[in-house]
Order: sequence, then structure tokens, then C-alpha cells
Amino acid sequence: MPTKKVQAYPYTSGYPGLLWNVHEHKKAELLGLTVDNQHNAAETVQIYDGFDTDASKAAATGATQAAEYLKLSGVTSGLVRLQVTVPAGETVKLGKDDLEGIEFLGRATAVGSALSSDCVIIAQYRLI
Amino acid sequence: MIEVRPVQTIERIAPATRILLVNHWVKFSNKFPDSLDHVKGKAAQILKQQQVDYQLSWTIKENCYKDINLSNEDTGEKLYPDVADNLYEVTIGFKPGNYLCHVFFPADYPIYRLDYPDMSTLISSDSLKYLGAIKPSDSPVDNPIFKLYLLYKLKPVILRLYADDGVDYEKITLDFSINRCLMGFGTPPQQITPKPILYLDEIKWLAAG
Repeated sequence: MPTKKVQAYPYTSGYPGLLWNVHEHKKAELLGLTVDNQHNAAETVQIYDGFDTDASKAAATGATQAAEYLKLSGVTSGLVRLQVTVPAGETVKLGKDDLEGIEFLGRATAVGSALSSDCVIIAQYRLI
Repeated sequence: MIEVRPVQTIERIAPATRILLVNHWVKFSNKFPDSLDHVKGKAAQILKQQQVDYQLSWTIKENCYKDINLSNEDTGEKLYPDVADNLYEVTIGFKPGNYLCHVFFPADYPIYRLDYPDMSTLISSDSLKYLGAIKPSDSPVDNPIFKLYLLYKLKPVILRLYADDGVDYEKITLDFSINRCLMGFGTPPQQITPKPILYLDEIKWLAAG
């Protein structure tokens, strides 16, 4: 099972909190998440799902539905699939039962509320 | 000494092949149009075959659809044979998701429909969008049963992929297994029953072959 460790980065630009990249033909399941916050303040971690859509047509009207760029436009243009707030000095572990059913269509990126190398985020995931 | 033992009942089940293999025979219906006279009413033996796997994916907003043209037209996915002697037996498996697939042949004419007028799929209708729709569970990637026979010069087959309500966005992945068959036209031996290949219109209208 792939695992990725990152530290808490607030979003500025780029993808410093990248957990896994988008796969052309696969979705992803988050199977485990650990947030070990030894920072001196509470840290809120959001996991973003970034993907671009294909142009399509609205079923009701047949009108063109333009492509949307929830990946290309930056991390925070994506969808927040999970958010957890961890008090200072504590660790939160979410397992398969907590995360069941959370599905990612594209790139997963962790975004923290404050920059800290003392707040570590570890994700286990599976591409399906 | 008397030996009593039950009659042996060993069932031997011959493995059934799910794709065309070398030396298999096919017979194309007489209902194929004249524009496909290279196969119309003819029988052919499979001389060579090769399986090619391919995947395609699209991410679509909910309650929206995308038409996928399988033909070799400029806007198509180029999954048709490019020579008259080839037959593509295409098996399509669907990855799980909250979406539907409608099959049109030619464009705007759904293959799966009922007899009563207007009882065909209508993507803007809350009820008729489910009529004749293929769900991912109907032909899953690990046991695909949705199959198309594609020929040179066949009109485009259109797959209308619809992301159903309730999921914001859906990633739709189709797993194609293309069995490229080289055909040799002729008369099958008497003991052979060729596999009938119907024209898609016959399936649509339940016309006799």
C-alpha cells in the first residue's frame, strides 16, 4: 500500500503537500491518515482533491458544459474531501472505518492552517 | 462378492471461449446495408487474431453527458478497423461509478428501446434516462459482457456517458479489449455453425435476419 509523508504547509502556490498525483484512469481511496501535531498551536489539515473535467453537455438543456479546472487552477480550487483539526501536542489517526467511502478523482494535496515542520501528515492510499 | 457403487456421474463442461479465435467462423447478416457489401451476407473464417487492451477516461460534472464516437472520424476515438478484411470484436468493461451508458447507432438512434412510440432513452427525462441504460455493474471490468462488432465503413457507434445525479463529479473509465481479427471469406464446412453477426439495426428493431 503506498504511503506518503508531508509536513503541514499552508497553501501559497505549488504542491508542497502533495500526497499523490492524478492517475489518468484510476480513482484513489484514502485508507489511513495520521496527523501528528507537535506544533505549538492547533493545526487544521484539509485534504484537497484536484482534477480537471472534460467538456460535456447538460442533460436538462443540452447546453455545453465547459471544462472545469479544479487541478490546473491551483490546490484550493479543488474539492475538500476531508478536514481534521488537531490540538497542539496531539496525534489523530483515522483508519479505514473512518475514511471508508472517501474517493478521490485526482490529485490529493494536504493543506495545513500553519507552516510547521513539527506537524507531520502521513497518508496511506490505494489507486483503484 | 457384491460390489455396490453409484453410477459415476462426471460432468464434463467444455470451456466456452468468449472471444473469436483462429479458425472460428462468423456469418454476417443479409441485413447489412449495401455500403458494407464487403461483408454483407458473407461468411468468414478467422485467420489471425490479436487482443489489444486500451483504457479511456473522462471526468464529467453530475447530470451532464458526453458522447463518445468510437469510429475513425476526426472526432472519434479511432477504434474501428481501417481495412475491409478486419473485424474488431470489442469488449467493454466499466469501472465502478455513478454513471450510465447509452448506445446510439447511428447518432441519435438508441439501440435499446421499447416498441411504444417515444419509449426510448431521453437524457433530459428523470425516468427515461434509465431506459436502456447500461450500468457499470452490467459489464464490470473483471467480467465484461458488453460487446460490439466493428467493421470498416460501419457508421459511428456512439456511447453516451452520463454522470448521474448525486456525486458532484464522476470519473468514468472504460476498459476496451479489442480483438483484432483478420478474416478470410469463404464457405464454412458443413459441420460448423458460424457465429451470426447481426447488423445493429436488426437488434434495434428486432428485425429477422
